[in-house]
Amino acid sequence: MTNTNEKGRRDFLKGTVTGIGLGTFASMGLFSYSPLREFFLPQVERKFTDFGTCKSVKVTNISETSWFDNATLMGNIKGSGGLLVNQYEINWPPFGDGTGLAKGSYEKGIANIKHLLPNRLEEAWDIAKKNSVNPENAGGFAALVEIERLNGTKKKYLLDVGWSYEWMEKSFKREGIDKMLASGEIDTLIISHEHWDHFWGFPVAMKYNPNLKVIIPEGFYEEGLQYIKDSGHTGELVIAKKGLFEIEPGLSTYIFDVPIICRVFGEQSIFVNVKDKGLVSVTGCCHQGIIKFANTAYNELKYDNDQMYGIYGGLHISPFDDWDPKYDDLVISLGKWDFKKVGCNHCTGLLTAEKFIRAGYPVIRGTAQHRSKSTSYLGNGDIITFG
Amino acid sequence: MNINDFYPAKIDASSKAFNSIMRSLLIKASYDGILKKITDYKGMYLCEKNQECWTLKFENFKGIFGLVLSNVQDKSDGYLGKFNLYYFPSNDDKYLSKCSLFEEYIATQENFIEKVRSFSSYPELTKNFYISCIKLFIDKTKNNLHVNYEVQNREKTYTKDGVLDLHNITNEKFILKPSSIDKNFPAFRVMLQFFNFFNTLLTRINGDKPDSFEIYKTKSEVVSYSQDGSFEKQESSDVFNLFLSLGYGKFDFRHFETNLKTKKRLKNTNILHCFLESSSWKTNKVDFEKYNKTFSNNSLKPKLILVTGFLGSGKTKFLQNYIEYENSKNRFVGIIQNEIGKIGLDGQLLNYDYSLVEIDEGCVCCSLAGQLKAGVATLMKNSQPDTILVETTGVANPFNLLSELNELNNVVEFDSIVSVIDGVNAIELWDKYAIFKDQVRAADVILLNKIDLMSNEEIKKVEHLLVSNNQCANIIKTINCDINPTSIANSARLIKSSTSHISTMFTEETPLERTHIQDGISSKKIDIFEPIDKDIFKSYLEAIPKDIFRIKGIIKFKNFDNQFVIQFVNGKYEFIEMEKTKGKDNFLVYIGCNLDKYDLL
Repeated sequence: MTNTNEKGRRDFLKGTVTGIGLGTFASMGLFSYSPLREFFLPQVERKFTDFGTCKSVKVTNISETSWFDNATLMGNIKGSGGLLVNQYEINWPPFGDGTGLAKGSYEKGIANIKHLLPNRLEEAWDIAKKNSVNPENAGGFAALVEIERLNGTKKKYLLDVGWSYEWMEKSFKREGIDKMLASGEIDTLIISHEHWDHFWGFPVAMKYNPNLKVIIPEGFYEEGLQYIKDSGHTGELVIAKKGLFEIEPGLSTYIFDVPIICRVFGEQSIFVNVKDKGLVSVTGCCHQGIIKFANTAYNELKYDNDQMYGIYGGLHISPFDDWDPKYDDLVISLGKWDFKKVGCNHCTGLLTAEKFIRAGYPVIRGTAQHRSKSTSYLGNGDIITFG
Repeated sequence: MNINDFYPAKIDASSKAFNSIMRSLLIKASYDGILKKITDYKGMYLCEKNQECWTLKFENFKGIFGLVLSNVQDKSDGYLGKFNLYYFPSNDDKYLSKCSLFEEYIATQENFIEKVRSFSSYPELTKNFYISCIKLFIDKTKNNLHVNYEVQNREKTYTKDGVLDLHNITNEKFILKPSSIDKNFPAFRVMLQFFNFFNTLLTRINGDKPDSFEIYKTKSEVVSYSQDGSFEKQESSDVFNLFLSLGYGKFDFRHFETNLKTKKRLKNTNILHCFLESSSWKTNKVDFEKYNKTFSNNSLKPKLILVTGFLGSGKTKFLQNYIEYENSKNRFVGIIQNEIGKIGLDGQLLNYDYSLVEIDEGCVCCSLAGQLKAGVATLMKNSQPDTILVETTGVANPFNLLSELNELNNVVEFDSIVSVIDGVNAIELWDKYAIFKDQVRAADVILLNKIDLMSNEEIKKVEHLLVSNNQCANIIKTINCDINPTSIANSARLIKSSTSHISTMFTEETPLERTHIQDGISSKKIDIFEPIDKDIFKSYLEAIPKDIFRIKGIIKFKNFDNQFVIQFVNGKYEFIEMEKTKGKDNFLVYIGCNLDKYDLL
């Protein structure tokens, strides 16, 4: 029976490539049976949450060189079992315990240095160097975010604290962060996510001001929470829940519940609404992907001019490999949002940054100083202002 | 199972929570290289338009799997999320004609695949193409997870009155005759692909196999529809429902499954039970390496891609693009490099995010299996790359390498030969160099590069030349070798088996031993101690004889602070200002024919 039908089907489908509305099928006696009983389609409406405005925002790149040699880093991760490995087990500094790659743990590692935190960091790092795998590779990511309020006053926030105590001390001093922390000019630290290169330099900030208010995204693991305590933190710890977290008019963060490599969960990105300009976002790595990031902003937030104005930080396109390669292109997906100012670095690929420039995107060039590698990036010590 | 391991956030009976849980699981999957290989996973897209939905592709299926949340319930001791699984057949899919005529019509429409990417926005897609319902139950202590698949062995519908062709109504021509089968879709068989993938993912996250696995079976019905659109169900002996139930954790899930008593439980010795269990998700201690051969044809070894291309074709650019894309996906690339007249310059031109092994002296095509093997071993020891790219010298003959590559079979998985072709000079090179011909003939993938510098006619002409000399290769046109590695992987897969086939055909036709020495190509390095005037150097390059087809090096120009990288290829040249690094020696490497004849700088 099926066979005699085959030809009829083929002829029909060939003959009707265009033209027939699905409705006309009924008149032919063709129906489609659906076994589905339930399916809900909640309408997603733009929420336009208003978190106020500010006059401008300035971002100073304290350090974007998270590590200096990617081959070494990937070798460590691969050698420890791959991308799903727990970062605290790799035996990277400062949690090295001398047992070698993939045999570490937070408890054994911190035991060697805990008594030195947060004030005797040089000694602590020296111990870590001896006990850890590839300590020379550690750098870190940190940025200074300076909000200019509508009334002209300014307020500084620290985003992330890097990795290596040694490198972060140096970078903090270069940009005067140590003094701003000590004087209380910076009183709030925002941690984007629990990754080693954004968070493990935590004691360096504590050294200058243990009383900082610290905002971390929901999803930190036990080790990370313990590290905050072990680093001598005495200030307020805020665990921001999934979704929007408002800090002050025009400044808010958004917590994405995304799993990240090396057993990390959740990333907190910063949104700033600059008056008469639009939305500026400052990201650590954007592990949730630029597509999700921009979609979320679009669906949830109210911002001036309805314009995505600027972006700073690392840009991941998506945590997935698309099955259709033609869509897997950061240059195309970023273009859709029409950013007016792009400052990229860190985990954004260098060629990608160059492609942005060739495609005519408003990429702000850097100076390639302090071990940053290209002028297509906003490198260590570079500054970008929005508004 | 500790749910906090992969989802430390709060869970409730909201669609937000369950979408987020599924998203987290799938992201974990995309980080898991071993899982991907053993389950033939080929990529995923998350659509956030309206209702979040996911589409996935697997190697052995031409169509796309779709997954979307359909319901959430608060049970007294846990939360239940139901997901619908779909299969959207592609145009050349063997499962296409198993669908209903209605579905087949939709699937052959022009924008079908485009729509599939956000299928939850299209009712005609969510109402049709359904294959299975997947229930995810998580208990309130977050220590137990249960997954249940409900599927029919086949979805079968009949048309009672037949379907008439409207175009041909006077002849009463039936497209489907009365009482004939409209749909006969093997839902269970297709769904098994996702079943194995998802369970293996859970097993790998859990670190152990599920604590329980049960199969229930009930009778099911075939459906027939009449001309008036009414549906009639009829019990049938050849369709049945299956409920496949896996429990991670020691929790008795039975009470949330309704009507279990009316279902017949299959014994553990049942053949279907045994068959399903012989899969990668049923692994005791998660040592997937050894299951490799049993469950998948894909190996866990790094894949090896041989990159050939004449000098200056854009190989380095290709490598850079490849490395950067893979890095952005948290994968790592190792490079084995060998250039005639090796100076280590390319190491400087390339980005930094890869592991490089340079093979000494001579060139890849002349010696080599041993060196290649050592190179692979070094790479594996240092950084365990996912892919190894072997960059052969610009004038290497890939056919010479094929037999050597066989010897590497136990350490790498040979993937493909990629030849980068400089479109602008292709015709000329074809006439002049036999090795260029071999590079075209040996390729699985040809990147026809520099099309931005060619007219449409020139492109057509070169394409014709390439196609007529290598009908197997996938020819991809590029500018700056800007290409997504996935496109290469996808095309290489289709013709992988033919690589050896072409090579044997080719062997019969030409002797294999041709190397660059016979073509009279050689290289020469010249050290340059003094800064040079930029304009004078330009006019020097513009007057260079055709025999010299490649110059590269580093030069200091008068009145410039930084040094410049010089690239000269077949009459075209560029200077790239170097960034402030430690001073390098200034030099030029010449590559070409009869170099001795010329007075080099």
